[in-house]
Amino acid sequence: MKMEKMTYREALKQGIREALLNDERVFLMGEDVGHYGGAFAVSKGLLQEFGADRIMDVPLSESGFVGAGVGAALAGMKPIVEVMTVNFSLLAMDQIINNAATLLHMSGGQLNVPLVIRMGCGIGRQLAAQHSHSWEPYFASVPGLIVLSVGTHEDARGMLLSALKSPDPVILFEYTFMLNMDKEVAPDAGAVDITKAKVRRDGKDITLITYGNGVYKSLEAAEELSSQGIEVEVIDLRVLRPLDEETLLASVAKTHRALVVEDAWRSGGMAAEVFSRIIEKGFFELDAPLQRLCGQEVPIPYPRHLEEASVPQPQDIVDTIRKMIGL
Amino acid sequence: MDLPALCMSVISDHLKANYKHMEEKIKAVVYDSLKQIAPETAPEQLGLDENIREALNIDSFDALQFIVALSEKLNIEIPEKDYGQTATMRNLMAYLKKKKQV
Amino acid sequence: MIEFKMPSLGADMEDGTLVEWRKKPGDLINRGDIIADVDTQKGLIEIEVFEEGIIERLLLEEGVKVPVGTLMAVLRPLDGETEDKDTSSVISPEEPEIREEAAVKPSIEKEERRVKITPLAKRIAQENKVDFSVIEGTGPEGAIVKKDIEKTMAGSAVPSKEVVRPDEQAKAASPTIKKELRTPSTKAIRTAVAAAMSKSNREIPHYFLEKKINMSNAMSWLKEINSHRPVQKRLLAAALLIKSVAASLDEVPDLNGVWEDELVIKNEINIGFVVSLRAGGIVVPSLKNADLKSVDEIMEWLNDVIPRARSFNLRSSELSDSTVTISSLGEGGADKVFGIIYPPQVAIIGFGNIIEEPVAQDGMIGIHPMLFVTLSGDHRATDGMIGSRFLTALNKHLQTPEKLGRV
Repeated sequence: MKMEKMTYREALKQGIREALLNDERVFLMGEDVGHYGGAFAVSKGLLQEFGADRIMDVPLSESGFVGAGVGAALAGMKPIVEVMTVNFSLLAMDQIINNAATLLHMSGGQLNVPLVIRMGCGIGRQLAAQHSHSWEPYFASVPGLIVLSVGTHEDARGMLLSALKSPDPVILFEYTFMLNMDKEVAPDAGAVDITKAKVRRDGKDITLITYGNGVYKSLEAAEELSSQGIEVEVIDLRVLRPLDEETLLASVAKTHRALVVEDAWRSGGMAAEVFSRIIEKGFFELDAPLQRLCGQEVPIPYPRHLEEASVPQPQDIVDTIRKMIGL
Repeated sequence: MDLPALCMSVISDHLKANYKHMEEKIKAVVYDSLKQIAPETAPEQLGLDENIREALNIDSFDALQFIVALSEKLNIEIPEKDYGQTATMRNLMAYLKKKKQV
Repeated sequence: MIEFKMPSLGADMEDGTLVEWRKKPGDLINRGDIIADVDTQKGLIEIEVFEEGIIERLLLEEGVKVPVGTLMAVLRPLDGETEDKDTSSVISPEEPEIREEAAVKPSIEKEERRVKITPLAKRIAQENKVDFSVIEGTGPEGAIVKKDIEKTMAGSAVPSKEVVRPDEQAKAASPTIKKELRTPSTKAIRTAVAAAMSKSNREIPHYFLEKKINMSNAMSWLKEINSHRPVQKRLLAAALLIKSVAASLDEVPDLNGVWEDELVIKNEINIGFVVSLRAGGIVVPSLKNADLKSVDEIMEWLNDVIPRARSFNLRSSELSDSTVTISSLGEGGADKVFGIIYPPQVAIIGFGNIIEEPVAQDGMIGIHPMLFVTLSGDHRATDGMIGSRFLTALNKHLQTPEKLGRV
């Protein structure tokens, strides 16, 4: 199959475009998504193509427009709500958790909320502490939500399509850091499996579990380690909620070691949950203490070198794994 | 040769053969039993008047086992007071032949 | 948990090779069951367990040689209690010293180092019956990891303690080695005897006593008994002598015990009886609770144990725990034998020849069968006076064999 080189941004845009073309109930709403073309230029040109009814600029009121999205979903639409970055989502937390995630329960199963909320997430562009955090774990702890992390171009292209098929609210984390990154993507790439974690690289020596920004960094480290004779199995969690235990446990049963890499803060991060599952069900497979490389527990700094130092880098991964293997 | 003489001769030969056979059998049992107790020795080479226990280095426990083996294999009773008659091959054989009425 | 360790079958035993496990994890063990065959310098020995429980784990691989005291298996007690059963079963309250010693034991065992091992490595070790307590870990914080267990299994581990692995060839030929192992080489036995006796001679200041005992009564009694018995049931003088020793030790208990920086008198009278091997060397099976056995029972024991001793077919319990030793030359040999004490015991009794001698008795000279008895005592534990009292008691008992025969 002929592969096509495109940026993560372009892949996201094509995913949105395809969703809009597929289903007329789908529309995009968010701050600056229309005339400005998106704060990160993801939706550039879509307003011209689809019109103001389907590409809607909204006031700077996260609680308001996320709530409108919930209402639209209840009314039978398939809204894609863009929250510029996860940092602003706190303003919409009441709508997301108390309404989107809870209405099915409160209505005794009568009201599904087929809402997709896209959020920019993580570091990457020197946007400092109020625009750069990785808060996937917050959302991943909420029953009623499906939480997806777009860690690759393939998923950037197809994950939205899958998310729109869900009858329940989906949080889709996209990564600012990767927007300009070029990768080969199949031109007809489409919906992806959002029920399973994805083994991005096979290996027998250690299981590296990651998501989001961690995926490419982990694959880079795995490549380096492979040249040193260590075969790392890289698992992209993809679905942060509900966690795909089966894939994780199967891999640990093979490699007997596990490392979690994530940009989110260490305390209460995804690693904590992943490890609990492994210890609960895979204790007797473990041949080494579980290890994690997480974001430094500081507000993300502004200067580039400090920003880079605040999250795990490929070299950190290489070093940690070598140590775990006993080299 | 008349018939009675011939008969006597045949019977005598038979008895002699039988006697010879029994003696061989007893000897075999004796050697066998000694071999069992002292496997590394060659009891066939014992002199007729050699003290068996001394020659084959048999202690009192094994001596008793030897008597037990002879009693069982030859189906005879050997009282303790007769132990003295079992010291050499010559008097042991004589004693056993007497016991078996050979 | 009940810990089952490589037993010591005597002061001369330093190590043993596990030849075969007779039980597997999950098996119920009753008191006295044979758990394994162990090859020692004394031949292939059937090792018994004297606790009840269910085998939790076997920690040693077949073919592995380990020092005495190495943990071989872990048993789960049936009733869940972990108390050392020895303390209650045999020690009487009149022996505070010994009870104290026994009570201290479990706490010492609890102090054993905690082995750091990953869950996976532990699982593999258990599945393959690998004793990981002796493996040096190469993982984080010195933990034993899967690789270490696999190395051990492949025979290339660097053990922290002595773990000798059999060569692969010997392992492949397992059924045949078992047969060969049953008969230890003369050299091995010689080495074992040499080790024990050298230690004794080096460490124990022996004193020697000798007494001539008139065996007229004893021999007449034996003759009378034996005349009524088929040959299979006849008694040897040795049986009566063993009985007389047990009875005398009951009166002079100081000679029945072990030296552990002080004399520890044992409550049970377990008599080691030296069985000489035709090819040279000795094996010393132990008659447990000899004072509680009748002369007939002792004779039955001799009939059973001597042939097995000579064919190296004894169980672990039959070689251990002797509290005193008898060396009996039997009639026809040397007149006297002065024994070397088998450590950590404190006495050995030597029975020599019984020969007819002219004896002055009550102003008359008579011909009597006389037995030369010797006693070698550990002078650290007892003095000649004690030894003398023992020989006097022995003489007394042998003059009234009918009393000995009554029990």
